[in-house]
Amino acid sequence: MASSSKTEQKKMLILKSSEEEEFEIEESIAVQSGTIKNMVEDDFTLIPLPNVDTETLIKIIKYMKKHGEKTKSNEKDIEEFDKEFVKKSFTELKELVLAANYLHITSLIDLLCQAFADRIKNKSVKAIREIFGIPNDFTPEEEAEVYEQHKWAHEEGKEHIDHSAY
Amino acid sequence: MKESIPPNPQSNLCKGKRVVKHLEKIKQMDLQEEIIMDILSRLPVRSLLRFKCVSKFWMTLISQPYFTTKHFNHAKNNQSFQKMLLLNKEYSFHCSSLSSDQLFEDIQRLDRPCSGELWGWKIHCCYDGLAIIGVRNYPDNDFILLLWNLSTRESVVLPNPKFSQEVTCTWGLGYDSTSDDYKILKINGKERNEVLALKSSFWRKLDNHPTGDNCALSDMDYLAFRHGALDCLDTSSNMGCLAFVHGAFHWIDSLLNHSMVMFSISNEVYGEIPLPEGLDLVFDIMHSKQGVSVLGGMLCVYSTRIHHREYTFKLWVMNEYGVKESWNQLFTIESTDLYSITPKYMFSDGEVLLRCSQLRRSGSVFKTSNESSGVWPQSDSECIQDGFVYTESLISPKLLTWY
Repeated sequence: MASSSKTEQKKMLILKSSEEEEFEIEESIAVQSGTIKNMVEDDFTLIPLPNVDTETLIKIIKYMKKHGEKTKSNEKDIEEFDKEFVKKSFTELKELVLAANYLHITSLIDLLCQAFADRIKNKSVKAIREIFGIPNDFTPEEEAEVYEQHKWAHEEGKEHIDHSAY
Repeated sequence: MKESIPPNPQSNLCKGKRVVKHLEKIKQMDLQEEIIMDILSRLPVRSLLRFKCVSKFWMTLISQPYFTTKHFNHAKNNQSFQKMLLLNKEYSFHCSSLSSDQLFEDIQRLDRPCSGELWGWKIHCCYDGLAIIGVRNYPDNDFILLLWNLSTRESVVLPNPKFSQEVTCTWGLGYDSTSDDYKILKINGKERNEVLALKSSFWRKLDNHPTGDNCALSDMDYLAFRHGALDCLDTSSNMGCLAFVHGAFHWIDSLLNHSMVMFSISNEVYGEIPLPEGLDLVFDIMHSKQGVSVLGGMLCVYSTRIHHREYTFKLWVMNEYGVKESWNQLFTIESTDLYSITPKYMFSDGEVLLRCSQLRRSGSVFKTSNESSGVWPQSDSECIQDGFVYTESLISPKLLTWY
C-alpha cells in the first residue's frame, strides 16, 4: 500500500518565547536563523528562546515567513516589505536587532543596522545618547576638546542636524 | 524526536529565576558592542566625527584602526560613499556626492588644508579617500607636498621629492599589502622616476623602464598647447595620474606601441600589459591622445582621435586583468568640440562619468556616457578644472606618516 502523498508533510517546529508562548513554524523557514538551525541539527523540535519576548518573536516570524518565500520574481515585493518592516520606534528596533543577533539571522541584522544608520546619521549628539541610553562620561572640558578637533563637522550645515530622539 | 531540552538542563532549572532577572537587564542594556560597530560602520564620515562626542567608548571605538578598516571595507563597495572632489579656476575645492540621476548632489565648498600664503594648488592623485596635493609657497615659490584625507580634512606635509615637481610629471598613489604601506610613485622620465613609501621618510630614485621613454603621456594638453594646437591652457589642467589597480601602477609610454607599462608596488618591478587590438597609439600632438584609468576596479584605456574636424573618443575596459582578449570596447563618442575626454567613474549600472574639455572654452564639463545632461552648474567665473572621485574614509594621514 505504498502511496507517496503528493504534498509532503512539512516538518514543523515550535518556537517558545521568553513569556512561554508557543508558535508553530515550518522548519525550512525557521532555519534562516543560524541559532535555530544548529538546534535542529541536534534534533530539537521545541526551541525555547528565553532572550526573545513574544511581541518581538511574532515580528521575527513574520520576517522569516516573508523571506522564506523569496523567489526571483517577488524581489520588489520583499523590498517593499523590508521598507515597511523597519518603520518602527527605536525601542522596537533595538529589541529586534538584539533578537536577530541572538538568532543569527544575517539578512535581518543587516536590514536593521542599515535602518538604524539611515535614521541616526543626522541626529545630534544628545539625541544619540538618548536613543542608545548612553550616559555622557566626558567632563565639559574633555567634550569641548573632542568637539574642537572636528569643529567643522559640527558647525557646517548644522541646520540639518536633527535633535529629536525618535 | 527529542523534546526540547536546551543544553545544560540542570543549570537551566536552577537558573529559572535568574533568567527572568537577566531578561529585565537586557531590556535596559545597551546594544552590544558588535551591533553598535555594525551600525557605525554604515555611517558617513562626518556623522562619525560628530559622534565621537557621544561618549568615551564611542570615541575610542571610532578612532581605532580596526574600525577604520571595517568602515572603509563597507564604503568602497557602496555607491553612496563615493564623492567627487572638484578643483576650480580660483583653486578652490568643492566636494559633492555622486548620484546617477542628477550627477552632483549636495555641493559643498571645502577648506583647503593648511591655508596661508599658498597658491597654485594641484591635485596630483587620489586613492582610498586620500589625495596628494601640490602647492606653492609665497614668496619663495617652494613646492609643498601634502597628503590630505578629503573626508576628515586631516592633512600632513610630506617630504619633497628629489627632483622638482614640474608640470610634466605624473603621480600615482597606491596601497602595498605586502608592506602594509601606501606608496607614491612619480614618473618624469629622463632618469627621474622616484617613489616614496609613506612609512619611510624619503624618496628613492628608481631605475627607468628598460625600453620605454618613461614619460607618462596620459594627457597631452600641455604639449598641444605648446605647439599651438590649443588656444588656451588651464594652468591647473589635469596631467592625468597613474592608474593603480591589481597592485600595480599603469601608464602609457610613447616608445611601447602595443603595451602599457606597469610597475608593481610591492616588488617595484616594471612589466607590460598588452593594449587592446584596434588601439594604435598616436603621439602626434594635434589633439590625438590616449590614457589609462581605472573604472569599477578594472583597468581601462581610452583614446581620442581627430579626423576631418571630428573627434572620436573610445573607451576599452579589461575584463580580465592581463588578458589581451578580454579587452572590451565599451562605447564611442563622436563630437566636433570635445577634444579631451577623461573617464572618471563607473556607476553601478555601468554608466560612465566623463570629464570633457571643449574647444574655445576653458574649464571642464562633466557628462555621463548615455548623454544625459547633469552638468556641473557653471557660471563663467567658476570654471571647473578637474575632478577626482574618492571614497569616504577615516584613514588618518598622521597615522600613516610618523615624522
